Amino acid sequence: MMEYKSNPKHSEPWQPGRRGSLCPREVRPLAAQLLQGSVLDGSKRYATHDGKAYCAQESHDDVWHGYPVAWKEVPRQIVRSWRKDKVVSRRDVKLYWHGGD
Amino acid sequence: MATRWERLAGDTDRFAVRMAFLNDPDGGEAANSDQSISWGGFQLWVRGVNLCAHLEQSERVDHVYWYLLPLLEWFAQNWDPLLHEERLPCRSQEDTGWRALRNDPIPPFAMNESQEDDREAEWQQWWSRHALCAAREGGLFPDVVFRRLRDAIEVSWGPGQVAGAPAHVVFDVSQPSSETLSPRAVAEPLHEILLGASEYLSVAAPDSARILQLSQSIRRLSKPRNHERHMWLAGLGVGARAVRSGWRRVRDYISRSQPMEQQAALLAHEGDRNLVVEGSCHAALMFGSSSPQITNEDVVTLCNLIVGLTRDHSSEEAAATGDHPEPMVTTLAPWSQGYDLAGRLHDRLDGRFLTGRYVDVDDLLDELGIEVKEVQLTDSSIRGVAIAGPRHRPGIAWNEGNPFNATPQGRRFTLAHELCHVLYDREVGRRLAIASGPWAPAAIERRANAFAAMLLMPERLVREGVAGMNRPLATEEGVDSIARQLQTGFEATLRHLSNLSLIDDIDRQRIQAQRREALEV
Repeated sequence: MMEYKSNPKHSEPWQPGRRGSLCPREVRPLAAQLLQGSVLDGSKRYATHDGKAYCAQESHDDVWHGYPVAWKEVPRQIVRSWRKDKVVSRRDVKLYWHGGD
Repeated sequence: MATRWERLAGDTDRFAVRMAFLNDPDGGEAANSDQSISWGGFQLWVRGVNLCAHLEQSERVDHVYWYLLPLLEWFAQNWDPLLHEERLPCRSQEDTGWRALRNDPIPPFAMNESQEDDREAEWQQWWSRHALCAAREGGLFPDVVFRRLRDAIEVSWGPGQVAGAPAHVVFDVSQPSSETLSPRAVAEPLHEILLGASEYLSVAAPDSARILQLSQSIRRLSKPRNHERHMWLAGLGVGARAVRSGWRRVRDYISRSQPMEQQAALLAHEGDRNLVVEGSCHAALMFGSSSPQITNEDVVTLCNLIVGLTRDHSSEEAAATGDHPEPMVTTLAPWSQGYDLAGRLHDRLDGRFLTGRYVDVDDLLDELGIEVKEVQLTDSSIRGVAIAGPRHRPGIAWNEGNPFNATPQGRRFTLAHELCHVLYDREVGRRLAIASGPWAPAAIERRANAFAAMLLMPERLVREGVAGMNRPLATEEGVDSIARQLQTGFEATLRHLSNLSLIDDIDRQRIQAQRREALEV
């Protein structure tokens, strides 16, 4: 069973030189749920929520942490399949292609 | 955060990379040991500017701090395309890789889903090989794009959007810009830092299979592999597989159909270093500027054209071009450089081509010793082709299938455009092979267009023509009269008269609209 444990580098409070992409506040409570529904590609897992994309990496055995990504960072076959299954719309992929809010 | 290792490679006034490994501030929490040990900072310097310098909550930070292992792996994995692949994933009129990716990322809604998907896939593949952000893996990296640009490396950048980046993280380089550098100036410091960093990590984590693999792939970069690198220079496709099979197709044709000596005319190159190819061969230069979907017929036609201009050893006399390659200046608009070069050429020719009512471009090319040929390419978007080199007579070919070449005025413009390439766009080893069309580098194409306009419509002849007119210039008839005198196309003449401030923007738009209406009727 996969477990979600956030990485402090993607969490607040901000500390200059010690942080990367921040997980949005509203998504944090959903992180474990997103992980369970995510799709594996290579060593990373991908999930989507509210039109935006998220990536998870394995920190240790079956323990994962995640962060937001742009659609351009998501493997092609995953975007293709989600668009086909209406998991994500064409409009949202365009809107968040570069990762803007 | 204690620094465990640090190195600066290169010259910050040209190109340099600084990298440092530090203790993971979170003590390895929620990160695997390979990543945690690679926690550190990096700086990327181009012509005195640190592209990594930024503000975080108003505090100046000179490095980008993140797990550096994915970045090192990305450089090692994409080394050959990063330093040798030029052509963008989509037709673009943008001058730099960064602008082309930013302004042409997603196709218009007019495309159907399947076409859109193909287009996005091509864009994404190219982006993942050339954009530094493709290696970020959750970090906040500057939006920097590396690519080959003829025989140089272009580094371009601009304000980026990164998913999950807070608004208080602001990189210093907020305006789009670019620099070109010699391949060696980039490859050597980059390799030095990769090598040093991987050696450090190998000692720090001797049991890590991932770090061992990284070290091996970085060491392999210094083994010459020209075939692989020429393949990326030719870029006959968008993805790695297409690029590989496209180049194999060209090589097979060349080895099957051309004698050894002619093969050298197509494939000879120089300036190879272990890390990077500095001077491209004619075949790579030519195909690097043509469509990635080039047909077999066009491959054969272009190869024959290059071979057909091979210099006979018994006639080694140089052509009279007296050419002096003029690299593009990024701080000056391409059109202003083109106008200037054409003016200087007329001066060099002592105004001999300014005495008649128009510039006789055929005579001019003849005097400069440049051969003119006609070719039939299946790709009608290629207007003309220019070839020159130490083993080649300078030559220009105009494509019979291109609609602009259907009129004598259009052909004259094509010849003048290609002349600019022959005289000023030669690369390392003084080689030139370019197919002028939508896949050729936009900036040198724009410069050649401006050159052609000023060469065929020098100010003196324009002003003499205007002075002799008995009707107003700012009318369709007025522009037509000048165009007929100078034997140039209507559109090109109108644009040139506007650039010379002889017609203002409002009149230009009115004349264009009138012309369009007249043609529609």
